[in-house]
Amino acid sequence: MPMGRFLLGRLGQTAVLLLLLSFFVFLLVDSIPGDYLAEMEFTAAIPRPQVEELRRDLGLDQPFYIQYASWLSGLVQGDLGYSFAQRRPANQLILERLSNTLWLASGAFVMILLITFPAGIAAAVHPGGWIDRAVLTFSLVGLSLPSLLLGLGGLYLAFRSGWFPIGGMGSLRHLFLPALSLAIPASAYLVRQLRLEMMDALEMPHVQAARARGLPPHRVVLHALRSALNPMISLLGVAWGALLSGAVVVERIFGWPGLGDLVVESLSNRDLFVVLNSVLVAAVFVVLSNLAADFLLALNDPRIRNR
Amino acid sequence: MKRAGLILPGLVLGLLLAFSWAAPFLAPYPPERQFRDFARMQPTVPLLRGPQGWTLRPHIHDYRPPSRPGQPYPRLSRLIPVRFWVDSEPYRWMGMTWRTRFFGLDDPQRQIFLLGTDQLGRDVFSRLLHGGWVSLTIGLAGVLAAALVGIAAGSLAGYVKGAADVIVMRLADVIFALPALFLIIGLRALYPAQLSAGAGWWMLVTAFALVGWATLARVIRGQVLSLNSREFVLYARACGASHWWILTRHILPFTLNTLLVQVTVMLPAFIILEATLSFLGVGVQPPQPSWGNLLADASNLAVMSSQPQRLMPGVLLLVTVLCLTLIADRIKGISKQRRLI
Amino acid sequence: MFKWRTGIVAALLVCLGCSGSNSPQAVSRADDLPVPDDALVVQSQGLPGGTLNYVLRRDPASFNLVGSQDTRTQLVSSLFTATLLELDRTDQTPKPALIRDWRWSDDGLTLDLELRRGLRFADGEPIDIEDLLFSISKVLDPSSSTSLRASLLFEGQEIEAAAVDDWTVRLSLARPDASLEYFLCNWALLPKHRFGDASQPLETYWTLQTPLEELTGAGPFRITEFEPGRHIVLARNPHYWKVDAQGQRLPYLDGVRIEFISEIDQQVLRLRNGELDLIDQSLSPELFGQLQQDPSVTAINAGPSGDVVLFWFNQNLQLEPPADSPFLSSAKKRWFGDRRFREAFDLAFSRSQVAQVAFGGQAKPAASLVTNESWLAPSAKVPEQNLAAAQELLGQAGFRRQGQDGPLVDAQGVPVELELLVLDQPTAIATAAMLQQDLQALGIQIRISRQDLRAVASRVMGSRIYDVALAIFSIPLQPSQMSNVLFTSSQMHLWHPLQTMPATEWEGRIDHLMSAQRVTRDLDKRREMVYEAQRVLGRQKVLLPVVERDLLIGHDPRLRNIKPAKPSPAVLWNTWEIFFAQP
Repeated sequence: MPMGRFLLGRLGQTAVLLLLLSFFVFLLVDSIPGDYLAEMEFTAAIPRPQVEELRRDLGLDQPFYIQYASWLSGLVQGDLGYSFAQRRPANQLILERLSNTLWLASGAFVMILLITFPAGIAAAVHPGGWIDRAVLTFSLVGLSLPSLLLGLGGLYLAFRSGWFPIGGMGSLRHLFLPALSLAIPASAYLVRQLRLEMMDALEMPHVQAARARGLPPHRVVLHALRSALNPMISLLGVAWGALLSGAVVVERIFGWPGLGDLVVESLSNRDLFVVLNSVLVAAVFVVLSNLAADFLLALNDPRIRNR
Repeated sequence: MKRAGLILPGLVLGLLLAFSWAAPFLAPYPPERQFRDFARMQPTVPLLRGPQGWTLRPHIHDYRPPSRPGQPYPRLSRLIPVRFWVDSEPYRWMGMTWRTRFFGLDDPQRQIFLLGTDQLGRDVFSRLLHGGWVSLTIGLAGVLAAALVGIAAGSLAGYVKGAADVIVMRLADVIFALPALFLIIGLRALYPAQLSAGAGWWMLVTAFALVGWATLARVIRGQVLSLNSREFVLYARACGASHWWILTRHILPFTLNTLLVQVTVMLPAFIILEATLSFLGVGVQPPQPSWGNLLADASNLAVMSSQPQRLMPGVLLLVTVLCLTLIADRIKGISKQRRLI
Repeated sequence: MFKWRTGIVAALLVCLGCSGSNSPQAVSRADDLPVPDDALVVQSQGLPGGTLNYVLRRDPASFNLVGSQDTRTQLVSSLFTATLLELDRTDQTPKPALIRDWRWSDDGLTLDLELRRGLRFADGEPIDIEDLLFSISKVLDPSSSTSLRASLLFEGQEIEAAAVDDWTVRLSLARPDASLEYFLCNWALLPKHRFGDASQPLETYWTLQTPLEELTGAGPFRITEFEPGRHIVLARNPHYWKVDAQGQRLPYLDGVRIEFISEIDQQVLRLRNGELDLIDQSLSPELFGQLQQDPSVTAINAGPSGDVVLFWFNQNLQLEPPADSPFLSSAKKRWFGDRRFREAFDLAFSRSQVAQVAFGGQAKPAASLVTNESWLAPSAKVPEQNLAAAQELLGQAGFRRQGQDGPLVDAQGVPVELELLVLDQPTAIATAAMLQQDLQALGIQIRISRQDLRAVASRVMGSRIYDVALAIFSIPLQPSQMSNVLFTSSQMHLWHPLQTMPATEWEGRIDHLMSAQRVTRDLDKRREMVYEAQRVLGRQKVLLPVVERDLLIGHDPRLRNIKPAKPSPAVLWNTWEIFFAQP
């Protein structure tokens, strides 16, 4: 069962990576000077022994490696710690914000697919044609327009035209502008890659053969697409991961209550458990989306899993 | 032929860099100076057409504060000539004290605001120029730092191999997995909440190095691995050349091409990152201007609709990134061609 | 109570689906229950129906009106709980509410409170004297540490509550209290049946995690839905105990929906798009200017809001700073303890420029902490900017400039560099940037640290690790309600909270004056004492009032009965009579 073995191997690698990742993030957050409890120590209203006790209860007086181990075992059991600033378990908080961010990212991802594939294929079918030139121009401009500028532009557009609701999240119409601001830079990059891959694929012998056999053009394109899809799957996996990170600024501009907003906010409150776990949750998503891309890739291309 | 495409974007970029480098001289006012009587003012556009028809000596119309704040500034018919090489209060630039600026007005009671003023009466044009220098140099220094770390780590992994290779590459994996913006925000917390301008600049540069090195290290490692088994390297080794010699004379020079491609892709990404971080309030600290800071200041709707010229930093950011993308495309094309030869 | 002004921008969402007819007569509603005979009649006429959406920047800290420290909590809980008395903002006097009548004894030591009869909580349970006694005793309980309790039990004050008959509770005081009625206006009636054994301190109840059905009150609305970070939905309370002139049961509105949107811009956009109805706080001058030009929005400057920008010096001088702390070095202790140093700051600020520039003219320079004209000391003057005088004061205190335009250094040669803790809010940031430049003229370097409310509050009242701070506060109108900032023992004594003994002679003097005016029933004598306290505070320059901002409101023209008046909540204090006029 080569597929099973391939999957197992990749899972093993991912587990090692996640472990390293958790260690790195823990190290980073642990070295941030002054946690929430340190501020409490200076709070006259809270007796010092009480803070010490809290610190003991939370295991924060333990040496670094024990703290790390207990934090990790908590994580594995699905315990994301406690938010001091909001006085409630961080699980609920982080998952809530994560689902908001995922909703935004999914919207953006669908848009990326909707832009990239039609445009990339159309451009590759007639290289040098007007569609191709239009797509290349879009790609160049899109690459130069960061989500920051697109978001601000979108906000202005919504303000001037009144076509879109602004702020908060609710309907699909709320989703449109933030998702588009995320989708344009990403698809500008992906459309270029797809165009190149498709152009290469259309030149491949088996595609040429299919064409020579007199297959209708759309079948030929589908044939080529299957080969061009491989590199695209990995790239889409990376793009999905990047959406989570890029969402921070869009969330800020459009008032989308997502994970990025939470991290920025918790950091200024020195609510480090929340920062730590949010960053890790985001990173786990990136790793898992890469894993999923690998898996899809293996499904699409048997050669990879036999390698 | 291919190189021709480099000239225009290169020229534009060079001009942008030169203008922001010369900001202390070109900008009529210090970027933090508040002209409080003239807050939220529209641009005072220099005109070349006066009552006597066209002239070569630009001038602006006089103005005065409005009767109520928030009202437009009344434009008076009196004309004030715009002067070049005007005297100003002393300022420091390039380690020297200067007393002359490129342009300004003689009348100390009136100022020329090419792009209007912000909510505190600061000259937007002066802030734009000074901010450009901050944004561009942070991007450039960040790329340089990332390249240095990336080359060192990549050649270590590729040349020494073994444990060093494993450690470096696993570390790189970790960096890849962490969303860059989150990572930098986390790093920002390692520093005290308030940073002086210089410390803030270095903080961002180190953060960029940390985010960027992994990509470069991966590429360099691959190149070093393949070059290491090439005949000329084996020959040099047989002749008793030192590792350092081999690495610096026989291997790294051949990675330059790839490195250049990577760096030109990374530079616009870093410039965007700086703007984004400053926009989020975790980058350059106000009142020091940077394009991101200026955008954050101008990103409310009231400003966008009444003073759209304050979105100029966004336009310059767009132009910079567009030029850099064009250059990156050309360099990629050229390096591909070369490899074919 | 003296409260953190949180930079709320509140807005009401238009509900286009107003029900009911256009006829001005009272319209009976399907859900209307029999009105109690004892219902309070409000002289008002309106049309029923419509949902009002209110927008806050973020969630309230809790749902506990009595335990609250911020204006958001105050606002949300005032919608679903009712207080014993209510402050009539048109004449600033306490008026009957759940308590229909109250009587003082001649010696001013007992107060009889007579409960309105036949009322019910929003869940249908009858309100009786047990609830009243419970609400009173829970606040006075020694385990509770609410700011209301701290204000009530000032020096030597003791309050006992006992039932006189089935509807009357008698409060017996150890000392007279000239302001007790005002505190009754912030005292919520709690449903005893929802508190179980009620063994915990009051402030631990009604948090954001409390199940909604436990959040029962006698307010005009009841909470039906709460999603943290998203919204709160309140429906009309069918048992509300106020009726209008026609006998129509109030409130007119079917419900209130409060959304949490942090960006003020987005709130304004929604207002302009017609999705929202009212924005009443933290409107920047730019946005207000825009609203004024928009025909679809009514924009009003409702005059001084009672929100004052305050600047103060950290005076926690006896607190030993940690060795590696960049804050509160011994040099800073020395500077902040020197009155001349502090006065130099006062003279360096240009308050009129802050009002004109940072607030776009929608504010006025503040002369004193007191914003209520009838309590403002006649001697209080807005200090004029005078850099020469400031420089001279600094010179007398041993400071000098290093070089002509160099940094200011103290006698030991330590340069004066301070971190200014600022509430992250556009007008506060702009004010801070202006102060930064003003102080730069004296050679003082200021670094601005923008922090959100929670962080500012925890630094100021908790860790106390900061140099100087600037924030916006909602100042109450009654001097007795300011005791929590003026009393040295209070947690809100900003510059040096929770002192066991007054650290300085002048702070002790203010403590004394403020409690003496509380027990004085002669109004003129009280005035003199409050004036004197203002003079003492004004002389010390520890707390510098900068400007008082105006109340800027934008609302849908169809909204009626918007009667803005300080104190906060200045617009939504009469939600029971707000209604939509049909287009």
